[in-house]
Amino acid sequence: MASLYDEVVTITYDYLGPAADRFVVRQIRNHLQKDPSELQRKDLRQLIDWIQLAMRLISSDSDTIDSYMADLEALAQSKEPGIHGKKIIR
Amino acid sequence: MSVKSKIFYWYAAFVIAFTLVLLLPAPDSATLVRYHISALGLRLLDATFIIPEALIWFAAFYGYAKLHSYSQLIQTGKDGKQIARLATGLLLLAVGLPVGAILGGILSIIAAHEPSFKNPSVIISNYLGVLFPLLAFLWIGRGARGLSNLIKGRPQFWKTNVTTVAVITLGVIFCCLIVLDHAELRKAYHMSPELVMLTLGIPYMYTWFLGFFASVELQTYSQRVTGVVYRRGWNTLILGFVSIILLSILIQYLSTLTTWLTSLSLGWALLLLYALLFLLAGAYIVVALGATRLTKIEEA
Repeated sequence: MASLYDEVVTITYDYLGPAADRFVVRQIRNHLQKDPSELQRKDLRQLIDWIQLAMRLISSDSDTIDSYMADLEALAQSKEPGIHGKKIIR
Repeated sequence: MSVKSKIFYWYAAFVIAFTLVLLLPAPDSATLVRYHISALGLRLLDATFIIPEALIWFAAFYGYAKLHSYSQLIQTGKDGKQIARLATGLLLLAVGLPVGAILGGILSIIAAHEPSFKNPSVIISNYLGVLFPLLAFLWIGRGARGLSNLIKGRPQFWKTNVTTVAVITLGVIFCCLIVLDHAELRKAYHMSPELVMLTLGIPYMYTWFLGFFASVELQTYSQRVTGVVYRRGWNTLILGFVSIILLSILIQYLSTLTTWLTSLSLGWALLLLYALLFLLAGAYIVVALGATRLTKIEEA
C-alpha cells in the first residue's frame, strides 16, 4: 500500500514532474521538521498550506495551482489511504 | 572561490585578452586595401567589435552559470546528471567563442611577423573552429540521450528522417563546394580538397548530426515529460538550447563558406555576423531564463 507521502508525491508529479519528489521532501523536512516517511494524515492540512505558498512563488498560473490544491484537498478529505495511489515512475 | 566568481574572472580575462589581441598589432595592409579604409578607421572598426563580442560572451557565460547552478541543485536526481552534461556542453560552446577569437587573433599576429606561418595559422584556426562545437555537441548529445532514456521515449520516426536528410543535404552542399571550387578552397583552407573533406568535412558533418539529433531528443523530452509547471520551465530552456544549437550550426556552416563571405561588402558581412551573434546571445539568455524558472521549483 502506498504511504501518504507517496500519494502526495503522486499528485505533485502531475504538476512538477521529475522535481515532485524533491519538492515534497523539502516541504516536509523544512516546514514540518519531519522525515517524509513520518508524514501523517493530521499533518496534511499544514503541508497543503506550505505547498500552496511555495507554488505561488514558483508559478503565476492560478488555475494550475488551484487544480493542484484541489487534488491535495481531495487526498486530505479521503479516509482510506491509497485511493489516489496512481502508479508513478520516478 | 565560488563557481560564479570563477566564471566572472575568466570572462574578464577573455575580454582583456581579446582587446589586447585586437588593438595592439599594426593593421593588416591587405585588409585596408580590400575595404578601402584608413589604418585609424580599421582600428576604430576593430574597437566596435569589442563591445558586441563582450556582450555576446557575457550572455553565453551567464546562460552557463544559471544552468550550472540549476544542475548543482538537482545533482542527486536522475535528471541532475543529464542536466550537468548539457551544462558542460554549454560551457564548451561558451568558452569556444572567446578562445576561438583570441587564438585566431594571436595566430594572425604571428603570421603577420612570420609569413611562412600564414598557412599553418589558417589551418590551426580551421581545426579550432570545429574542435569546440564537436566536443560541446558530444556532451549535449549525451545529456539529451540521457533525458530521452528517463522518459523512455524516442523521437518520432519522421523527425529522425528529417534530421538525417538535413545533415545529408548540408554535407552534400559542403562537399560540392569543395569539389566545384578547388582554387578558392585551396586559398581558404591551404590544404588539398581531399584532406579538407576528410579532416574538416567529416568532423563538421558529425558535429551537425550530433547537434540536430540532440535538438530533436531535447524537444521529445520537453513534449513527453510529466509536470505542467515543470514543463513550462523546461520549454523555455529547450527553446534556448535548440536555438543555440541551430545558430551555432549556421555560424559554423557560414564560416566554412569564407569565399562567399569575403565577397560580401563590409557592411553586409558585419550586419550578417552581428545579427547571428546577437541571436545567439539572445538564445543564451533564454537558457538562463529557463534555468531560473526551474531553479525556482528547486528552491521553493
